[in-house]
Amino acid sequence: MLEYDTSWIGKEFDRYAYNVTKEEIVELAQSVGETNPLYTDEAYAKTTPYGSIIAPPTFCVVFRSHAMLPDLKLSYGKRGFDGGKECVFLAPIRPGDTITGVDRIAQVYEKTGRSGSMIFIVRESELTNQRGEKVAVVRQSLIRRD
Amino acid sequence: MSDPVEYFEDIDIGDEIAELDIRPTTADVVRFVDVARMQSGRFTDDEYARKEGLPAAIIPGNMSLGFLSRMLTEFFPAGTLKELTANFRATVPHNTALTCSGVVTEKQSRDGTHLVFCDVMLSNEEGERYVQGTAQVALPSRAD
Repeated sequence: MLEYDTSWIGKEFDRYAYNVTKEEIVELAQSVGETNPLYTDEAYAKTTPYGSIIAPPTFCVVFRSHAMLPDLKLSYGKRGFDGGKECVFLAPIRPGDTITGVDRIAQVYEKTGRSGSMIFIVRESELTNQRGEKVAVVRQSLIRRD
Repeated sequence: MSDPVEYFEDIDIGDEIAELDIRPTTADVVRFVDVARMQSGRFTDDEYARKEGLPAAIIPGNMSLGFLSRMLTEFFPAGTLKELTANFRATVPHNTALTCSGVVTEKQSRDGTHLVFCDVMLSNEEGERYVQGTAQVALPSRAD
């Protein structure tokens, strides 16, 4: 039976900011073999409606909090692993942007399968640029089990 | 069907997205984790990974997301990726032939936005599914 400290649900537990450089965008695009010059070629990007290089959508995963999760006082679940991600892309990320991330615990729930019970902790990161536009929301499911 | 699709009218439910065949090397993973600020031996060092109970160094889930995104944006060059979800079902090894694939499951037009919904996955040559997810892509319409 899952027991935990419900007072953390929806509460901000970390805030962080990163500056975005063109070099990082190009490097990340090239590391996954992106072929679209919109992510790597400034001269090409200028001819598109975007007017400059933008980051590939999943660049948003680089804005990472290094804070530990708050202690949810889980009744079990010593081992943890990354169960999956949900990314909602709302606006392009560009070189020169300053992206602020705010992290919250969105949800905690339990699932019981063939291999026993697991706890899912959903950590939500809301990413906003320097103009106050929300650029992405990333929800990560962290799975805990004994 | 394998040619890239530009307009909402040119894709139907059941259509397959052109597969993306990749073979990420350890050097690719090192590059990715450096820029993604996720340096950890579990992604780049076999010995370290084995101490964590993994068979060898693994490809980070975030990098798998990047491959799925690349498949979608290459197939829909005029589209905008709106959502991507992924369940990490099994660890993904380095230096292994992998395929990103997908199929269209739904189409919707509302409030001037034309959305294509897809199931996507990352698997190996034996068909083992490492990552399974869904995506939403907004496409231009010929009627716009």
